[in-house]
Amino acid sequence: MIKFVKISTALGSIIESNSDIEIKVGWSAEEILNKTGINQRFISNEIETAEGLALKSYKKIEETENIKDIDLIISVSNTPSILFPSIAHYVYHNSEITDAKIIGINAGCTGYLDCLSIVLDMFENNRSEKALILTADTYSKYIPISQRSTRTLFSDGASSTLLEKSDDGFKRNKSVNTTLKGSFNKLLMNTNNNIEMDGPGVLHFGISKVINEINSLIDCEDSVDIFPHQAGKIMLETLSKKIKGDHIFYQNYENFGNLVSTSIPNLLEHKFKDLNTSKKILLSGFGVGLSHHSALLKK
Amino acid sequence: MKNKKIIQDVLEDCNISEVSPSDTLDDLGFDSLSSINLMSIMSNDYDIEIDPEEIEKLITLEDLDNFISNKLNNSD
Repeated sequence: MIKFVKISTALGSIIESNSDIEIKVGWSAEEILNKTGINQRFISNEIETAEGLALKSYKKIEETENIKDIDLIISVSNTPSILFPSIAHYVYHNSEITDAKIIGINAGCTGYLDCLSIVLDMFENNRSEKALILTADTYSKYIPISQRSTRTLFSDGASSTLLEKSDDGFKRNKSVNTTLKGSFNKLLMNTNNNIEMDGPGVLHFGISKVINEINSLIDCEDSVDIFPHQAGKIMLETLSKKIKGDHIFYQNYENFGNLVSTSIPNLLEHKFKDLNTSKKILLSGFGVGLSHHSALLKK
Repeated sequence: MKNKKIIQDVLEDCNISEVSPSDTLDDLGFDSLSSINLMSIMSNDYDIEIDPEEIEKLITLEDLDNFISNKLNNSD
């Protein structure tokens, strides 16, 4: 039903190593690596915005693919520099696409799954044949360097995913989409435009809810290729240890940090061959909300 | 101290053989990352789920040590 035709990303242009920020954050480069598991992050410069990065990632799609017949564009971001219209509208108006339905949503680390779920619904209901998902965030602009345990985790970036309705594509087998009641302030943009994260609260959400829900999706499955949101070292170590069964657990956070809704498409782009040869994949996003959205797709 | 290894892994930046059980966790640099380390170790190594609100109530190193012991004993 759904075929991943091409995925491209555009990341913040400042490649920030641990030694680049050790004095500013008050941890040595080695301590940053031990605590976060991250070697480097991609930070937007002063003129790079979520919209600009999304458009840059889209232009890489336009270079090689037929985009004229894209009939649906969905974007997701927590940190647009223009509150409205959406990033999907921004890219549409700066593209060669001529007639598409445009949807912009506000979500964090579940965002790619939220968009994918809408695309699947539209494909299944014959309301779209070819869709573009855009993810884009620049969290670093909203996290002071003094907030070291959060600032060292996140990267800025955007992605474009071109999807086609296709008989030899993936079909949605099962999915879960839940939000933990009472967790509104665990990860949010506060009224001073600073991002605040209750790290222990987010980890507790992962341990107490996300892992169980993922296990319920794949408890009867073997050899699932799992592409999880690249939240960070501890969350991914815990997930990989607690998820039951013999599965392949992809990760690349070490060299990219947490790219919010771009982390899953960034991982898929780097494992694109594996994605297209796989028969069974689990995409799993969790974070802001606190929400969890995972989908098991099969060929 | 009964749970030296776990506590040393949690408080990775300080040498716990050089501190006193009555030292406060704040003074020993116990922060949100330490809470995350504790939750992760207890979950991954002992299959024990800890609510971070329980950790917030702990004041001294001795409190932390007793808290870990209680969790381990209750899971037996």
